[in-house]
Amino acid sequence: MNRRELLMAGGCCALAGLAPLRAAFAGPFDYALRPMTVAPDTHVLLGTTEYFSRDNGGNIVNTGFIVTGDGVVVIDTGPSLRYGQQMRAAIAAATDKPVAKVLNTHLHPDHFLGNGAFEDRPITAGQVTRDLIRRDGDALAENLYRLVGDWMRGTRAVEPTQVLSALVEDIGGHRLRYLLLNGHTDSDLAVLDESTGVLFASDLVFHDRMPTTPHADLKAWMASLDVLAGLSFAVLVPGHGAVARDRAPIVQTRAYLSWLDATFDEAARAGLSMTEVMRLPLPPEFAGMALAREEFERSAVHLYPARVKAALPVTAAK
Amino acid sequence: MRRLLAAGLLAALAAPVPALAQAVAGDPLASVMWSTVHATVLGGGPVVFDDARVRVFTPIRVEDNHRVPVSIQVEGLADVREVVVLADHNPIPRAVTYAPAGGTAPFLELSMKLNEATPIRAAVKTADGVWHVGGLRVDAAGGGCAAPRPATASAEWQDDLNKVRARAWRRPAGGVRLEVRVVHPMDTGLVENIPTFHVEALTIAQAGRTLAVLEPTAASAENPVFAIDLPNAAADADITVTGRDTDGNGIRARIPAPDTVYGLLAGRRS
Repeated sequence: MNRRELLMAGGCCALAGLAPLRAAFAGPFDYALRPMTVAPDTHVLLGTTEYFSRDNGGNIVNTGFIVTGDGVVVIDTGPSLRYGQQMRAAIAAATDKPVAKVLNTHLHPDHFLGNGAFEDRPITAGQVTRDLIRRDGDALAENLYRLVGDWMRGTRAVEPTQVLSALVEDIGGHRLRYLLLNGHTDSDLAVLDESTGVLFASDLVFHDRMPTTPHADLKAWMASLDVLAGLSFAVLVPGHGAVARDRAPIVQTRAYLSWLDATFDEAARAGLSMTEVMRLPLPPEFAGMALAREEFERSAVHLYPARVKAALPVTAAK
Repeated sequence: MRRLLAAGLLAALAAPVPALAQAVAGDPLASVMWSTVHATVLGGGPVVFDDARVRVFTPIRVEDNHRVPVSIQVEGLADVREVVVLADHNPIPRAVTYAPAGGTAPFLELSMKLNEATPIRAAVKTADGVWHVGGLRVDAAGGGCAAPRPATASAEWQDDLNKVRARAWRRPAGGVRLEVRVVHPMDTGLVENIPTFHVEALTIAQAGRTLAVLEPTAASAENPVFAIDLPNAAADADITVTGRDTDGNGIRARIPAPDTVYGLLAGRRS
């Protein structure tokens, strides 16, 4: 090896250690998905805690897969066809087992638009989620094209082919418990692998990343979090944010939702307009979460009009 | 030869483009539609771009094009005759015209529809005929005016057309904060074959004295909510709202004098 070859090799090693550079050098539209093993047979693809952008290609979401004796169970498929394809390649690199089934936790586009890469396999969701994807899937995909651009090429809304029937499934040595909850959307599927103690909480749980509320019912969501908090688990995979080994992200998400709920009601009764609510200071325990101000503003748009309506009495015609 | 071509291109670029598609010197938003909306919506007249005294606020991300909250705060301008809220790139640029009775217009908020990414402006006309203009640019997906109202659009208007929910709060520094919500579909006329149908006038008064007149268009959101500060309103008297929609249906409401102070308790603020 001459001096030049040595330098090249050294350079490559250095690059491999730097994820952003590596992504930049890996060619366009490479999500650089690297499965992280969080428990036996159980892998998570951790997204960023950013908003959709042309830099991140929509990889702002956590997906995962469980390698069972009877094939791989995939939990959510990411924001685009390209993500789904790259996820499938990452699964194939991790195991020889075929994909047994795919689960869609809820209708949000960053969680199911990779379905196109799994069209040859059964794709399962709760009935409500299946119906909502059927109704709104195209519009949701269209909006992501606008937000992340060419990363979306070839992506269409592929709806689930099967409706979740049993709430417990024994598959290849893993006992999976399906919890059909709601509140983040009209139907949110959490998956507890009782064999490994891993809880895939879907977007019912965010971690150090401000929760999103475009289809939220805050009171139902808080009730669902109470259900999750009552489960016995060892590893918690939130929909967005870092994997945890305790209940802290459940507590954090619930505390924020509770504060949001009370603040919007009080503000509406105090006469604050929507843009005034958007500019309220955030409590310090939430202000440091990723996208805190942006998501708080979005939540005001989603939720505040109903609070204002409730706070304004019907007037008498004079 | 190549140099000649380049010179020709430069000459073409430097040639004046039609006035209607030209950003105006001094427009901080460099909008190609400004000269058009200035002429057609505001009727021309002298303009001062003044974001310090005419402050427009919208959220960072516009997600629902059918309901984009926009607030206008006007400070340090006397003899205000008229405030126009408009979006340069909307097929219906003007969302509302607000005429305050007392010469000051400290605060107005409404939600409006946006058909695409656009500058949003407030133009405040003072007694000397000058438009003081503030604004910002918002990014947005398409379709707020020309796309159907969302599948979840309320059918509230079918039973409760022009019904008013409203409340007044006493402002600690004097005057009244009023919020008025009118049940109305606010159809733009640009969707399917549904004709234009919107609230077109609301007069806010107290004991027969006009405090403000609002003239919304269909670019205001469905079931519009207006929040407005009325510095000259008495805090111990009822307020009336009277108006009509474009079909001539009447709007009439009496809002009891405020029993509460506007604003959150300090403890909730942090």
